Amino acid sequence: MIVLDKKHSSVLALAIACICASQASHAQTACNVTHKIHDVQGNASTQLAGGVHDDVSPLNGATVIIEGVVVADYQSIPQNTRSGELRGFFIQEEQADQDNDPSTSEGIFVFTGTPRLDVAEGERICVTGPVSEFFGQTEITATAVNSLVRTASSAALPPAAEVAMPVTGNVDDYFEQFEGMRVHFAQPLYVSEYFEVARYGQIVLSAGARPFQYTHTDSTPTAAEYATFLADLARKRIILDDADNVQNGPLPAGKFYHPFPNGFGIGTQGINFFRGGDTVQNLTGVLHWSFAGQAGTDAWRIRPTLATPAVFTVANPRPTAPPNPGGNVRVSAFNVLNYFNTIDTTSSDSNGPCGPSGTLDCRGADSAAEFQRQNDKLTTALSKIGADVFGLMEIENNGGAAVPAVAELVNRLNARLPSPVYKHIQTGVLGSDAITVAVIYNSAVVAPKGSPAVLTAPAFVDPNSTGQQRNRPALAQTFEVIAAGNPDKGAKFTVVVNHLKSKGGDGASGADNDQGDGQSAWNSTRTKAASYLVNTWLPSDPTGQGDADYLIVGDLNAYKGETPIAAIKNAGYTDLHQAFEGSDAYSYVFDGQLGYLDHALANASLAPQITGLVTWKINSDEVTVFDYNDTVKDTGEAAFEAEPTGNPLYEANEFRTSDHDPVIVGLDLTVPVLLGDADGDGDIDSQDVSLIVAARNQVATANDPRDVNTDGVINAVDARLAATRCTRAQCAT
Amino acid sequence: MNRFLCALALGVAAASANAATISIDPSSQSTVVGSTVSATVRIADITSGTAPSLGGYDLNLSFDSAVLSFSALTYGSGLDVLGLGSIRVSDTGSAGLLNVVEISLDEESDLNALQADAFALFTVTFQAIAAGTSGLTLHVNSLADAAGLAFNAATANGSIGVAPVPLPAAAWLLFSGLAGLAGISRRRSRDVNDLAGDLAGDLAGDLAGARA
Repeated sequence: MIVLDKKHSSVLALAIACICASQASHAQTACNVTHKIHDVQGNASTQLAGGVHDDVSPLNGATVIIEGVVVADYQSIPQNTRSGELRGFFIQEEQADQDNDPSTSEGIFVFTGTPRLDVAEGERICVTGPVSEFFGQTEITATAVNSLVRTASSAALPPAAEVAMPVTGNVDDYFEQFEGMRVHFAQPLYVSEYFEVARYGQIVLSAGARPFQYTHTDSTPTAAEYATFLADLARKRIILDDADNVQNGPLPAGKFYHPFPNGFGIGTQGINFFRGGDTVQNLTGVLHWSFAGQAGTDAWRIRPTLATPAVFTVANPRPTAPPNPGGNVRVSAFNVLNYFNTIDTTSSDSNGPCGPSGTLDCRGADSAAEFQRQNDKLTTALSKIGADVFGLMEIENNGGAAVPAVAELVNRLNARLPSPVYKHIQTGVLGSDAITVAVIYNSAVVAPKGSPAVLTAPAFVDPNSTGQQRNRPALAQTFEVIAAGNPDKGAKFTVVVNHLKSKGGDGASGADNDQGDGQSAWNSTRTKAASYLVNTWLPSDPTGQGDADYLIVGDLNAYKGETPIAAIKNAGYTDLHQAFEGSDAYSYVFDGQLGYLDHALANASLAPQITGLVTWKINSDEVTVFDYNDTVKDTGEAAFEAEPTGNPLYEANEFRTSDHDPVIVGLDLTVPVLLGDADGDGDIDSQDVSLIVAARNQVATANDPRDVNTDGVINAVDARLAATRCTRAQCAT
Repeated sequence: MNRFLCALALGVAAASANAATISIDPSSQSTVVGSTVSATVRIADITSGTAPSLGGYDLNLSFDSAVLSFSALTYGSGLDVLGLGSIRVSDTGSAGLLNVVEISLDEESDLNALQADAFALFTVTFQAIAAGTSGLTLHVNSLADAAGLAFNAATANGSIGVAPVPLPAAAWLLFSGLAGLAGISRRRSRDVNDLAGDLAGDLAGDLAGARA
């Protein structure tokens, strides 16, 4: 028999512990604890300052025996070797055994691998094993025989520690105090980022409100201010994760993502799914520093437990119909997210048969089935919007094909309407990119006047002379309102559709490099193009219709405070989002931050004729997995591109048609008075002359077409003057 | 015509771009109760073959409804030089007031080329219903030239005398003579400008004719 000596080395202690643990496994009562969990975690003084997450345990490498209550169980039962499973559980010191030092955590992750013991929340377990750091998380490895002993089958869960955001001081130092513990947020947290719901089952929650992009709120962006903004942002956001780090996998029970008891899927908001802006009340779970499957995903996260599943409150309900911007004519701008009628059968990072060169990747649907779904969702959205003119972005640039993508879209849209009223502006191939802008219109309401004008000047598409087109060619088309009975009949306006270079930095150099000020890469190329558009091209009347009313729409890939928008506004244009939806306008979510890239800007002549702008929140607030992609791994698709199986995720509705919300602008156009056209039928004939004679010697009303010489009185002079302007000889009708 | 009158007429012509006159033809006539009588409203001195030309008019003709009753209206053809139609509107709804409108639908160039120097705008036929004298007073609501610009014209009014039922021959002759004297008297009472305008118009017409 070995004489026990509490001053023996850790090696001896290990031997004793093993024996004791082995004995305890029979009695299920004793646990010869060598350390409390807070001793293993250490306190803040052992951590590195400066925001570097490196909280090495003071007992790193030593083998310890601890005892605590299971607060969260992510063991692989039945054994499942999928990469990314946590394969362990969180255990926390019972309340009576916790220390009085708030800087030391009372919880820890126990890695069990292929588990020796199936534990459950609320059980008290004696754990024996070496302390290590795994991707920055302190944990105990308990994979040896008898390393896990249940010492009580039912123990009180330790109370959750209260945490709150925004964090003051160092974020890592703050959360480090609670690593592995049950924590509770008393404040509501707002769903702000959900791009990774499908792939990693994680969402980002924000305190206070959903944040806006820095360059949405600041119109004089600087690198220093942006750095401050990001630091502040990090103080008020936390990830809500699922039970594993598995990519795109269904849960073992066939459920997909577990914030909801039955998994995530279509159904009822708040019960089966959430939207951006919904809130999580009283979030309780274990605080976990974890790597989530790809570089850069290491972050603090809350993992909900069986005892305390996340509860979502509907704060941003789905809209039932598009908001009404008013007016007599509607123009919508819509980035439809890669509408290709050439099926994509190659991987996303390789060449395909698309684009004018025939060597670019096709970016759209990966199968006929997916294309059908894409059409069903998109034509639902377009038909409900019912705009008279749509400026579309991300349409396959195959204008030379027998059935170009835009023509196919029009055909499919018309097929669901009572009559095939929509037509597209035929442009042929535009520029060199795989995608292009396009215009479709309701031919019963408006008619194109003249030919479309396309801006391909190097000063616009490649102003920094990089050797290839960066901004897609702008497309301008003048329309006239033609519908009988429309109060705006006879009025003209010109829609200018754009899709400027995106913010990704690939290929950028010099002034186009990311300047660190929040405007991202290619800002110089975007700004110069915007300036050329409004200062050179549009003043030249590119459509030759002599109409003064210009509406610039499209994905300018610039938030409202960025320099391309300033360039357009400096030319006298009005930001219609700001004018009608104010500072809270958004149509896009990136990295959990709101803003709008999809602009509508009216020039000085048109702005007074705009009745409203609305964004229809069918996309930006919706979770990506509701899009048209299916669960089939099609030819050329990577595994993660197929959606998870389990709960149904697809419906043929308008939600998550794209990643951008459609913008709808209402116009109440000033109809030019055709002096002499007394009956307002668009021409001058003997009937108009008779009507003028019938009103002889009356005082004219405002813009009275019968007061042809605009002298304020209607008389024979007006009648004769009208007769001299008759549309046809002898004023024939 | 003495030298003084000639100089006066030229001066007036120079001061007025167009010296058109709208008058009653005949300016004075007589009839008896129970008869019909017609008066034509004419425009004169608008030069043929060139501008100015009349493109439209809106005139009022006032008369004494106790003496005359409107019977019929016929339009002239000067605003419809091609015979293809014009806009013709009249209003006889007010007692003693006739409103007559005609708007030409012809091309400006056709009016200038084909419109005469003087022509009838319209002719009104009245029934003489009681003895007395009815003035025929013109009022211009508006006039337009062929191009659709405002146009000015002087007006010359007229009158119709209506005698009672026929009397013995001697008496008839007496009344007829008196009526003629009355007409002369009125003509003399017209202001000098109207008279000068008439003279100037006549002279301008003569000169235009000489140039042509």
